[in-house]
Amino acid sequence: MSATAGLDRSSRAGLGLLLVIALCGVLAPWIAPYDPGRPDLRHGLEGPSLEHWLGTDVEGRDVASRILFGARVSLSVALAVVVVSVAFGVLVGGIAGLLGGWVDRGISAVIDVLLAFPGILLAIALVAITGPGLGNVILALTLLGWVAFARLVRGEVLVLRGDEFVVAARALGATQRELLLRHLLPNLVGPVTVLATFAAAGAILAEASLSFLGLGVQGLPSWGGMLDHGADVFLLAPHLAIAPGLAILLTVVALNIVGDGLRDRLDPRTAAASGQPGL
Amino acid sequence: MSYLLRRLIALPLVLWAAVSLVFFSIHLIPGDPVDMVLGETARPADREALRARWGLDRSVPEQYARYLTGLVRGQLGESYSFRRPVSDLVAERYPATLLLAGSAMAVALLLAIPLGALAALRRNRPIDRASMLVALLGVSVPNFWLGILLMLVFSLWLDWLPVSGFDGPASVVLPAVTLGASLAGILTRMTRSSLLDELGHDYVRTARAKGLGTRATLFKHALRNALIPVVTLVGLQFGALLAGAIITEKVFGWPGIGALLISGVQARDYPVVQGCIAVIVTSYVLVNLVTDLLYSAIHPRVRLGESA
Repeated sequence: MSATAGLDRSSRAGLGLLLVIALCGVLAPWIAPYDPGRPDLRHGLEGPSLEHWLGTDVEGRDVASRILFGARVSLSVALAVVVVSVAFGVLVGGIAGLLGGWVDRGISAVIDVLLAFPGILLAIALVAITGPGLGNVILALTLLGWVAFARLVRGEVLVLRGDEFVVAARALGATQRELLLRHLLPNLVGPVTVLATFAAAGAILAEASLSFLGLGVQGLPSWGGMLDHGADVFLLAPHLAIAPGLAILLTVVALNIVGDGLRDRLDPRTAAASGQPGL
Repeated sequence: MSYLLRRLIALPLVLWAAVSLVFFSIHLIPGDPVDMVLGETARPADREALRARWGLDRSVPEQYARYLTGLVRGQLGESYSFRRPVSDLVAERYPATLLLAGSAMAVALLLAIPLGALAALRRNRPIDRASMLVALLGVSVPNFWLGILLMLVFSLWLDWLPVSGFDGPASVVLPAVTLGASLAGILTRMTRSSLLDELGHDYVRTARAKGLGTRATLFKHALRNALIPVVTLVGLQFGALLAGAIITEKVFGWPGIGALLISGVQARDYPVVQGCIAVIVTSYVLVNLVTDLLYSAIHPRVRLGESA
């Protein structure tokens, strides 16, 4: 079965858009028309032209090239945050759900406390304190990012652990580790993938927000950082703020569409809502 | 242990965890705040005087204990850059943030409920698709970008609304729309799905069979029930609006607690950073708690702490 089977048309379009954006990021060094970091002060703040499709910034750097390279930063941050959050969240949630008892109560208490935090606020505070940079941004966003996965997985494992296939595996002598990794994990792939899609969208917006506040990735072109610089001169050159904002919007829209489609596919109840009778 | 009791115990725990995380992060990284304020070339006597004034000459555990004791008494320390008590600075700015978050909430509700209801009533028609597209854009748009675009169009090109700052009711409009856009998107989707759910129930069919008109069925029965989860979400999101206001305040130069936090971050004014975070986290947790309790009061079928 293909990965996109069962997805509706808009979700496939979202997935396609996402692939194009990812390809742009991966192939940036080969397809970008200019070096994204090379200033050309003679051509600063130029509007879109045949030479520079999206114009140039204050230092004369090509905006289109910076957008292409910026995709690398946004997608790398999203990927890193999601991968680490999934790995840690699945492990912690799986242990809580599988072992139960005081381990579950302890982990659930930590999850409850961390879920009560406004995530972006803590990320701002932590990056402000530890200093901007790729690693610190990823760390700050992961610190609370895993919690949603842990809660989801704990709930799913609690439901699944009474199922016959788990009871049978236990009876055959499967260890807790085998139960989690070989039997339960394959059943968690769907809901975790849906959450991961929305989490990636959230991570891109959060990274852009941090960059906009001057707390994001330094030294590399990032969409949020470009927006921050564009906002300073948007009267003179609106394209500087419009282009990176559109790039963020398109990526997040694509992720949200794919997430919605996957969720509908995995949970027919949400899809069925549109088929119910009305007034 | 009752749910309420557990939530009340969790409240100070969350606050303690937040302020402790920020406190120790600040103290574990290298760098002396005195250097940042006075510069590295300041006289040793001046440096020592300032260290003593801010309590930095004491050990970290002692500073931590003093900080927590002060926090319990409502003292948030003295700002390094403003040279004033942080509690005074927060008290001056907090009303502006509350006004912004409240206005954003109003904007979100005014947009979302009619749009979501219309989408549900005209499901799978162009108006439904258009509403869902608007909702999708609302949840996906970076709010600082939306703020810049709104400013560009309504303040600079059309000259209808003030560019920034807080100067009368007109100046609230753009920041409120900017901050409320994401919530409007979430609430539109929620209203639509909740209303679709209600419209499928037997009581709606019974009301219609009894001859009740479309409008009466919608407003007296279906919408009233459909809005229960929406109201809960509104409460839970109000705390998120307070936290999200930070970025909107930066875009519009809004004189709230978020702008104070950002200025604290930029000046490495840690008492300001710690104080703002303590206040925002407390508000966030309190609002969520009150929402949960109100939800159980409105909706007795829900047993607190036992609902899925």
